[in-house]
Amino acid sequence: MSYKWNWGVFFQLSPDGTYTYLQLLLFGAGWTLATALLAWAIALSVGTVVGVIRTSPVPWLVRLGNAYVELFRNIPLLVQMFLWYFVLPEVMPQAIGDWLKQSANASFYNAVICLGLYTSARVAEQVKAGILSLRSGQRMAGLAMGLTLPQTYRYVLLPMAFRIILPPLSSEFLNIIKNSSVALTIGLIELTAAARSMSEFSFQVFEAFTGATLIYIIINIIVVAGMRWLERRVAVPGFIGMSAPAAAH
Amino acid sequence: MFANFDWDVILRSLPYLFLDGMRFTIMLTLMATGGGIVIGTLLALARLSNIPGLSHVAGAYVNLIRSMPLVLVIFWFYFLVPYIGQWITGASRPIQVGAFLSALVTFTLF
Repeated sequence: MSYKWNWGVFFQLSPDGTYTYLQLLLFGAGWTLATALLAWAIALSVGTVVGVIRTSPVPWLVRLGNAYVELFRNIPLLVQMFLWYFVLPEVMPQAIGDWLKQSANASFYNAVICLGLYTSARVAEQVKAGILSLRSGQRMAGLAMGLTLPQTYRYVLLPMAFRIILPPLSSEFLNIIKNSSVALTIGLIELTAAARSMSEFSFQVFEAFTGATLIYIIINIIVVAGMRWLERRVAVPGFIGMSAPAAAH
Repeated sequence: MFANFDWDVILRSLPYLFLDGMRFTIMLTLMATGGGIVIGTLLALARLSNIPGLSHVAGAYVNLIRSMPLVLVIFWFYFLVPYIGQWITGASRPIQVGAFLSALVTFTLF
């Protein structure tokens, strides 16, 4: 094998003259985390709303929610990124389009919005599944107690639904971290892009990607540990086991 | 705002879109799914086996691949393949996507 290994490359100065390659990778990891966290905030809030209206008793709201989910789930994430970044500024009125194209962190904001909405459709699917997995008696009981429909969702259905869907939600969160790497196609220098530019500057391809891989694994381990802790923290004794047969519904 | 749009371009590039692009997508999907199911089933068996070490190796592989973004996996294999090609020929695209699908299949089985 004619490849020259050089693990010390991480501590060498990168061509920009101020930072080492390791710092470059860490900056990339920072962008990855910032994108993922902001997008997750969008995904969780929009996804919850869409998931709730898909279980609501109003037919046209259900159809609207279904259409939303189908739209965002059926278009590849990469295509969505391109649509937001390249197409959206063109179809907007001239002034807004120019402003969108010229703003400094356009690719970051685009990535956050795109990733957030894309994941929100997936979150909505899980919120809906979580609510449907509850026994229908819970909704009826809530309404019979004199709670309004929003109150029933807020105090009866959603707290339990979220506990049930916590495991799929945490894997969705891992997904959003990994999917943020797609943003490199619209020019966001996140972790994968940083590794790629490092490999191009230094010609140490495998070291660069090993570094990025290790950082991704570390992030993953931390997230998984955090989610396990959260799961234990919010567990309702006896409930999750009990809900298993109800999930078939 | 739609004034400078040239919808005709879609019509003109239809043959390209459907013949080349779609054929490639479908071929890759089919091949990767086939490879993924085969490798994934083997991995799942390996993870369930009693042979010491084998289940750990398979588990480590699955965790490694699953914690990497697809883009990074693509880069890895894109840069690795020329070097692998020095030893054996034939390590090509389906395997890299197969790794992802196999991880998926493994976890579906679990």
